[in-house]
Amino acid sequence: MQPNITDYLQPKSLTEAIALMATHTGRSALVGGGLDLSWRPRQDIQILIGLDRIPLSYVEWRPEGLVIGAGTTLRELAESKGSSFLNGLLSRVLDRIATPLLRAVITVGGVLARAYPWSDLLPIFLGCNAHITLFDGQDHTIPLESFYQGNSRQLLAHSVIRELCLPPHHESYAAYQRFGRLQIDIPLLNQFSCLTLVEEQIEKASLWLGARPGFPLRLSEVEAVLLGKPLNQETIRDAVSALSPPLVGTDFRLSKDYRHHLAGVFLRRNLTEIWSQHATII
Amino acid sequence: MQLSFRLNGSATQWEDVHPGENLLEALRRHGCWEVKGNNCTHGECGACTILLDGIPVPSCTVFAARVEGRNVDTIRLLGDPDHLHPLQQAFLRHGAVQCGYCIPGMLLSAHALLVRNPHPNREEIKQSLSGHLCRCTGYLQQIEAIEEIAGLPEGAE
Repeated sequence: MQPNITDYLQPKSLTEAIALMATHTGRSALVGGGLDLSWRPRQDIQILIGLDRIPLSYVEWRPEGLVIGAGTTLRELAESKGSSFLNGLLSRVLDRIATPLLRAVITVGGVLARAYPWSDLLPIFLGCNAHITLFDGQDHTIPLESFYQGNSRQLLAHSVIRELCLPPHHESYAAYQRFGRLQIDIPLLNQFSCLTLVEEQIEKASLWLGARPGFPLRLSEVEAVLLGKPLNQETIRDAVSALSPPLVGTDFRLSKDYRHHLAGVFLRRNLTEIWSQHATII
Repeated sequence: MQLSFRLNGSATQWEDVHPGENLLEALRRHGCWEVKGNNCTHGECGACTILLDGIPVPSCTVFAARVEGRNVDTIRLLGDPDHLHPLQQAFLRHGAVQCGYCIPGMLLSAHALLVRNPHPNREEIKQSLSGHLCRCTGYLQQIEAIEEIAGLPEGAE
């Protein structure tokens, strides 16, 4: 029981939700699945604005890519046609997040809004150049990376996440590695790699390191090492060597040195897996 | 606040739900959840699992207000001590019940699995139980009980 909550409002449209947020600025919170609020009750909140009656749960292939409604739970996403995204990588990652029971409560909108550094999905969404659509009376679609580089908290104070779009990655190969104490635990480090190969050369590279323990970070220096090169043992070795220790830190779970070591292992494994995927297809 | 929803198939109306109350608390207060002890309250043990529109969820993580207009099923959906569901009978036959704390949740997850997939394989059964903690039996007995039901002809569950 959260005794400080005095009302639970259930708007039927995003426009109504925005109006309620404006009326109760500073003392209201949106509820998608509600897991975060049940784990971490907030004393500053008196009004809950539930999003259950707004049709935000959908997964659709559109010309611009895979579009995921913010109210979609991770379970719904895993069971949808979107699970085949990146040759099924999205589905495999979803299956390793928390437990089936919690995946039926966690929403994609919640993942994006809370943006916890240990998220399994954020490095993948960021690495796929996802776009987020926010509604503040009208829709605004911006790259997810820009959303987090700007003041996302301020934006979310007066807007609602409508959906996320993952652009198609037809020519791309991707791999993901995570390390956790138990399967259901949060990752203590994760790494997502996505490469586009054209005529045996790496044309695009998107490499992200998450749970470092900070917010996911783009490995731009490593990407630069890869671009224009063929994917082979030598290139993979050069990429791992380009990982610099300051990218990771120490927390009570893992030391900086161990994280740095793991980051190299993950990068090598992911690039090797991509190399293998590419070799299988050609 | 007032809530109208279907509980175990029956139209139900609660008049006095607190907006900050979770579903487990509301079910208990209305006499629909007999276990008195507190669970993990974080959705990690699976003991308080209910079916929300047929999907297993931990009721301690769901605000009660979210069930307005929806279907909620508790272990009472399956049976009672005088009329056990075949799945409950299979749990007994296999010695899958010891202290019993985790069993209602496990039964509901198993039931939801069998409704969607009448003949799951062992891996699918294990996956469906992976959010339920049992400290007595070691899980094997529950898996075998579900396998027994999964091996029955369709509709027999």
